[in-house]
Amino acid sequence: MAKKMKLIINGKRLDGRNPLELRNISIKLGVIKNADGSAYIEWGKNKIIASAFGPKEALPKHLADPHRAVLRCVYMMAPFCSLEEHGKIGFTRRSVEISKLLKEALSDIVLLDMFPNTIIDVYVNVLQADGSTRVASLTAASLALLNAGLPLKGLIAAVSGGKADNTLIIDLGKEEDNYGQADMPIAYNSNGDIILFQADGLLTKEEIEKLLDYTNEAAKKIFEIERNAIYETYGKEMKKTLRM
Amino acid sequence: MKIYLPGDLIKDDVKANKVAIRSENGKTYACVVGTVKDGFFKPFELAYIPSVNDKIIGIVYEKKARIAFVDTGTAFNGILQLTNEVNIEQGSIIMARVMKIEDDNNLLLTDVKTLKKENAMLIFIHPSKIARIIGKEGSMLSLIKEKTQCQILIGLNGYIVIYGKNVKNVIKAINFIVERAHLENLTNQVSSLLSKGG
Amino acid sequence: MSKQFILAREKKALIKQFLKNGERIDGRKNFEYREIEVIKNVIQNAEGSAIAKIGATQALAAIKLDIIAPFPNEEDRGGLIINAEFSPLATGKMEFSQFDENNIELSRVVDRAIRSSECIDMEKLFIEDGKVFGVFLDVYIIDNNGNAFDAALLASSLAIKNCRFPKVENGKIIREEIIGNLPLKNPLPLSCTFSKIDDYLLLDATYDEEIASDAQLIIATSGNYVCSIQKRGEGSIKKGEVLKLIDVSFEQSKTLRKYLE
Repeated sequence: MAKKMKLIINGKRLDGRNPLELRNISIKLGVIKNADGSAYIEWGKNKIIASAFGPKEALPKHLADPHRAVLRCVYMMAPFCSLEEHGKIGFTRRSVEISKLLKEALSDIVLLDMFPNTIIDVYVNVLQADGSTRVASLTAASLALLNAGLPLKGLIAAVSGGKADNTLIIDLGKEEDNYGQADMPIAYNSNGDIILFQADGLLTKEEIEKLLDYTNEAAKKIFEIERNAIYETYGKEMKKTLRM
Repeated sequence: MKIYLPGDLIKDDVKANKVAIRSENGKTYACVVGTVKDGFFKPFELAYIPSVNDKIIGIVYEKKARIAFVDTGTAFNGILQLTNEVNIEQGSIIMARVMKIEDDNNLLLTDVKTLKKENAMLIFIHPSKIARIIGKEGSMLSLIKEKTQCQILIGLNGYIVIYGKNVKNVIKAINFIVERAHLENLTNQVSSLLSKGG
Repeated sequence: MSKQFILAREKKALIKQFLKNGERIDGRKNFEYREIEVIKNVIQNAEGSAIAKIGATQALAAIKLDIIAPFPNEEDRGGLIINAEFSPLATGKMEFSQFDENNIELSRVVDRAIRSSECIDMEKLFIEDGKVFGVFLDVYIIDNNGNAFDAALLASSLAIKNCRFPKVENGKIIREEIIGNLPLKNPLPLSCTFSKIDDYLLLDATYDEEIASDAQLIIATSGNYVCSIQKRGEGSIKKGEVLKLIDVSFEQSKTLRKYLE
């Protein structure tokens, strides 16, 4: 966060958005034929793909939970996802933490006790990154589970809040993520309860309260976008192939 | 046609496959994407859970003295008690009925029949699409059999065994249906597809 | 694991039965490709990228260019670093090992084809003493219904062909300024993967045909040359088969080359 950069000029953000404006979100379900469920999301310039497999036999046997399905989630960034240098291949400390948070959030909406002694695997890959990848990834992962026919309590809407140039903003782009003053990724379930929540940077209690309201509003829009994408998907034939 | 999403309230009284819907405080909610038709909630996608009396097709992957283990292509393995009849070996393809679903997800099977492998092809599709392959009162399956002159055996778990010379057309029809299982009016389209195909 | 082995064995027996009747299950001829589709420039953050689809198999290749120190004994030219893998997106396997033999084989086969074809003019990637361009190519098989190798190489060659070349100033890359494309020298490599089931030779096997096969031969060509070969699987092949398949590869590469346009 050392570099100084003007992120908001005359009330507009670098990409021309207003502080509380969402980027363009486009969703496709069923993009990988061999997976039980899959989803591809373009969120601003983010390009994220997720696939879900399950319920599967729990192997090795010691992994099985007799009361509910075991949900596993892995989040990874492709080494070519950044505009800058080639990145690391494989796990990083950051991707391991995000994997854990995604798994915990997904566990809230998946009705795991309907499938005891099984495993459900979700894999999310960021093919192109442009800020707020973890919330976009969570959205993609939840839709992959939906496409797999796994029973869910509802949908997830995830979005980031934050602060840049002393202005509260939502849906942080890459520069705002890297050079802004604060970053607050958050995810809501259909009841409006918070199932993923982090904050990083100096924020007052009042600012957090406002961001909770702003992100909640944004979540409503995101739920709507997801619903429309699902209606559109199931209104026509499903050729499971990726179109980017 | 109203599409229900997970978490949506279903106002009508509906019947459904397990896990497709749930009740809370006397209200019914959809758990998966689907529609309501003729008092039934019809899922567009549904993770598989077998029911007692389901007819399944499987492959025997292990045989011990009096017991055989059967792969069903799903999270649920089959178990067969072996008696004197039926020649069952490792690798046998069988058709059986689910007698009981154990807590550990094993399926106790009965009424087992070994399927012949001559001129057979075995394929697997997601079990949630099997109902459309069968069709209302078996109408879709009859259509495919008639147009291709193939014998087709369906396991509700997703395995399908096809006999005959026109296997590739049967598979073409099945793939066509799988891509459109959530849409209406498939029988006519499948009929056209099979009429022109060589 | 015995379950997988038995299932594979049974699938194999059924498919062999079919071939005896002179048919492939999807009705194709022995040396016929499934439907092929390619899309280029799918990842704009990468300098080059492409998706190649063969039937339901989908491969995504992307290239990043960075400034690196040259490799020993290659101080006058750029470096090529290639990694390919069967993504968990396609396999659903959550085992992450650096030494997965299938991923490593895929990486090295793609690497060999590209490196030996000398399609990239590596000497033009020299910047100054101690600084050269590193071409980082990553390939993901994101959906696998057989023949990942041909899809991976096709995606890679298309990504290389459309790879933009940025300006370098004071030893740093200015990514927003494009001065052309990655400099190429020789024809881009393309491969044909043949599967042997008993005495049947099939091009572009589906996943089931792959499981049923005793051996596979992957032949990569660049122009009039064979640039790399890999035989995989536990079965054996004969000299006559090799020579015949080389002929088929040259012929088929003419069709495949159209997808690079």
